[in-house]
Amino acid sequence: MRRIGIVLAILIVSMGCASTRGSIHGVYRDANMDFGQIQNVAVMPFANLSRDSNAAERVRGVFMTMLLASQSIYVVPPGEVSRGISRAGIQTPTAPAADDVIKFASIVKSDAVITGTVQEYGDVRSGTALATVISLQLEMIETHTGKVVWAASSTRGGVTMTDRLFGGGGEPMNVVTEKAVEDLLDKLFGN
Amino acid sequence: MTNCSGTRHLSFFFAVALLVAGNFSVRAEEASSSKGYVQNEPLSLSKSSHAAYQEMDQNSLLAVFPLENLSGNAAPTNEIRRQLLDHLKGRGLHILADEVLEGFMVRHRVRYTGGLSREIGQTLRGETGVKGVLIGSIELYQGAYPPKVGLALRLVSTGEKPIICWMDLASRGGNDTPGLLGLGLIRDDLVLLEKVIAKTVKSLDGYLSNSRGKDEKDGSRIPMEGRFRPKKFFRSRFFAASVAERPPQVAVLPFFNDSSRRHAGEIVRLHLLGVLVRQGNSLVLDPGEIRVALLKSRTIMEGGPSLPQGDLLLYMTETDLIFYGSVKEYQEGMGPRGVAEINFSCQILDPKSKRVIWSSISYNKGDGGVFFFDVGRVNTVPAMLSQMIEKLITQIFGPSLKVSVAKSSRDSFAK
Repeated sequence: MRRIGIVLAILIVSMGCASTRGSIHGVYRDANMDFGQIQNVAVMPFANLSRDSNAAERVRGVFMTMLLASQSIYVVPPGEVSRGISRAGIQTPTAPAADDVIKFASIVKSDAVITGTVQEYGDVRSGTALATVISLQLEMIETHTGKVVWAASSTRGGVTMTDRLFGGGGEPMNVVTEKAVEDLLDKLFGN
Repeated sequence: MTNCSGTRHLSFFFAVALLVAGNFSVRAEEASSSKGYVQNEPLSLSKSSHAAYQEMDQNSLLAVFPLENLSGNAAPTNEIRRQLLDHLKGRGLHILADEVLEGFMVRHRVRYTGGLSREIGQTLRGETGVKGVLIGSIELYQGAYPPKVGLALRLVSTGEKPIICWMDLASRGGNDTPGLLGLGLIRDDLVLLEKVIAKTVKSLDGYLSNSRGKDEKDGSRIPMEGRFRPKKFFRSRFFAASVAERPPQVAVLPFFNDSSRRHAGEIVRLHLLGVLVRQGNSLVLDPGEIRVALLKSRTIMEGGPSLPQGDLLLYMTETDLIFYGSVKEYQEGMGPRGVAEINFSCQILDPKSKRVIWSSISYNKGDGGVFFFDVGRVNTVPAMLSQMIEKLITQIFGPSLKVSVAKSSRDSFAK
C-alpha cells in the first residue's frame, strides 16, 4: 500500500513538472537581453498566411490592445507605425531587415519592434466536425542591434473530442484569438 | 375526462408561457431602444461655448439638412425627410423653408450634408438667422420582413463652434415586440419609420422646451447588461491628468471600416458621438468641422492618426482627446432569425502628451447569452451598439456627471 502511495506521489510530481515545461516549450528568449529596459514597442503589420484577408489586421488589433492592457509596455499607436514605415521606406514591413528596424525605431522612438505571422485563422474541418482555429507566430527585434531577442508561437482552437461528439462549431473566433494572444503574452513575460 | 383536463392544463401553461415571453420581449425592446441623448451642460466651459446651450429653445429657427443615407442600400430619404419635417412642424418648431435652404446650399456650394463646419454654420446664421442645424443619418433601413429602421438625428449649433447640442439615435425592428401569438409584429416599414421619427422628434422637443426630465428616462437607468462591456481594455494611468483641467474638447475621427458593410465606421462614430453628447463630460465637435480640418491639412490616415497629425488636429480644432478606431465586423441579421453582430476597437490619443490613453475591443452578437423565449435578444446592430458604447464611455469616463441644468439657472447664467 505504501509503495502504491509513493508511486502515485512520484507520478503527480512528474506530471506537474511536465506541464510547466510544456508551457515554455517553443519559445526563444535571448539570454543576454535585459527585457526590463524595453518600455516602448512598435507592432508592425502582421503577415497573413490564412484564407481570411482581414485576419492579420484583426489579430494585430487584439494583440496591441492586450499588450497595452498588460500595463507592462507602451505600444506605439498604429498611425505612428504607418508613418515610421513610410518615412523609413520599408518595402516589406511584415519582415523588415535589421537596418530597416534600426532606422524605423529612431523615427518612432521604440525600444523594440514586434513582427508576426498569422498562419491559420478561421474554420477548420475534420470529418463532419467543424471548429475554429488560430495559429500565430511572433518575434521581437531589439532596435539597437536589429537582433531577434524573443520568438514564440501559439495555436488555439481546433477540433476537440467534444466537437466530434456533439458538434457546435467550436468557440467564437474572437475568444480563440484572445486565448492565443494571452498565451503569447504569458510566454513574453515569462509566466 | 382526465385526458381533456390534461390538455386544458397544457394549453393554459402554454398561454401563460406565451404571455410571459411577450412581456419579456417588450422589456427587451425597451432596454434596447436608445434614449434621448441630450448634452448635459458642461461644468466649466468658457462663456462663448455656453452660448450654444443657452440660446436654443422652441422658438429658435432650425434648418433641416438633407438626410445622409448610411444604410448601405436604397432608402426613401426624401420621404423620411418629409415625414420628419411634418413631425417637427406638428410640434410647433420653426423650420427654415426648403427653398431658402436650397438657395443657400446652391449659392455656397454645400454638397456634404453629413456634418456642419464652423464656416458654413456661421454663414447660414448670418444669412438666414438659423440658430441650429438638424443633421440626420439613416443608419438602417430594411423594407423586407422583418422591417428595420434606424435614424440618428443631431442638433448642431451655428454659433462660434459647431458644437453638438443634442443627439438622439433610435432604431427598431419589426420583430422587437412579437407579443402574444405574434400580434405585436410590425410588417410595414412605414409604420416602423413613423414610430422612430416620432420618438426622435419628441426627444428633440423635450430638449428645446427643457422638459426632458418629464418625458424621458434618465440614461443612467438603462439596464446596463454586463455582456455589452468592452471585452479587453487599456486605460492609461495618465488618463485622469488628460481630462483633469476642464471638460475635454473631443474629436471623433471616422472609424476605419474593415467589415463588408458599407458605412459601418460612420455608424459606430455616430453612436460614439451620441453617447458622448449625452454623458456631458466633454464638449463634442461636429464631424463636419473635423472633416474640414482633415481636408484642409490633407491628412490621409493609415490605421489611425500619427503624432504629427494629432498635433495638427490640436492646433486646428483645439482638440484635447482624439477618438479613433476600426470596425472589424458589422452584420445585420437578415430574415426573422438573423443574428446581429458587431466587433470594433476604440482608441483615444491625447495629442498633448502624445500617448494613447485608452484602447479597447468590443464585440457582441444579438443572441449572445439568450437562452429562453428570446429574452434579451437584440435584433438590430444600432440597438446593440447603443448599449455597447454606453458601457464603453462609462468605462472610459466613469458614470455620467448627472448635471441637469434647469432653464432658470441657464437664464441666470446668461444674465
